[in-house]
Amino acid sequence: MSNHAIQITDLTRRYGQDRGIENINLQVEEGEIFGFIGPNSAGKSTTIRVLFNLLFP
Amino acid sequence: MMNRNLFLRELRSNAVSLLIWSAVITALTALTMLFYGVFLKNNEKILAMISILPEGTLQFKGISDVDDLFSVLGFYSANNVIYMLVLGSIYSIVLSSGILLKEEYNKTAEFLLSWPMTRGEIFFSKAAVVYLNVLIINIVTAVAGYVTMEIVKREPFSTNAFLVMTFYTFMLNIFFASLGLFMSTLVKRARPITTLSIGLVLILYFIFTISNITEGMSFIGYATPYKFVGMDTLAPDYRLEFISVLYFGGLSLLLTFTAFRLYRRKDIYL
Repeated sequence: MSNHAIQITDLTRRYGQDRGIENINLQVEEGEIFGFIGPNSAGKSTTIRVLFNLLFP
Repeated sequence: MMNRNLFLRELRSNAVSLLIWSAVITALTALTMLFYGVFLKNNEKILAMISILPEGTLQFKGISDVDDLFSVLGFYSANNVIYMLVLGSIYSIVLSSGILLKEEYNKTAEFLLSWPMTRGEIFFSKAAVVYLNVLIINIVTAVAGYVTMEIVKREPFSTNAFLVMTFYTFMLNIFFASLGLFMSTLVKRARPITTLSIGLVLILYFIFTISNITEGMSFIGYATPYKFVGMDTLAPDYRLEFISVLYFGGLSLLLTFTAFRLYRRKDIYL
């Protein structure tokens, strides 16, 4: 059993053909301050929305 | 399956609306029933007035025989058609079509879904509030109707027929509540569907009326739930029809369950 507060493995979510995120992997440990940065349309919001259960993979 | 906190929060946030709708429909019912005495006293004038109207006019209130209006139960059920079968259904569908969607167009879905609960718990907590509110408004207006009928009646009326009519009304309102939940889960981009919901109730009622007043068009009435509501309270064999219970019960369950399935996997864009 891992102690990760958040663990994402091979997360893919597409909007149509081109846009979306593909094979995201990340772990955030308990108490860790985690920076999540990227250019416009990199998929930051989509990743967070999937984490929040707003969108489905 | 349900989250108590969310249920109570929704119940509170919809309490004012429930109070206003119940008060308005109760007041309308009571006021109309108070006119029953005047109506009886002027029966000849009223009959003369009705005789100049086209035959189909009364059908808008579900009246098949004008004499029914002079019985207290017939008078009540004619008005109940507009007050509860139409207004009550509008209340039900407006409430249910907004209860899930409002989180999306008010941008509060992100906050709601970050709570430690499943989509199923959210859905059933909100659906329970809808059904409870529909039950409350039905009880309040039915009690108001019964009490005012007792006050203004000149002859006894059948309590059994009144209860049957009340149950038909409740089933119809629950059907529209389920339809509202279902419709709201189909909306892709969050925006209120209040106007569409109200329009749908009115269109279905209008189709039902057209089917009643137009010869040979009776069959189109079956496209509306109103056809399955027994409105002829004075008929000797007036009772709860099995087919109606099956229709309303089955469709309401099916719509609610389908709405749940859709909401469980619905993408929410903010």
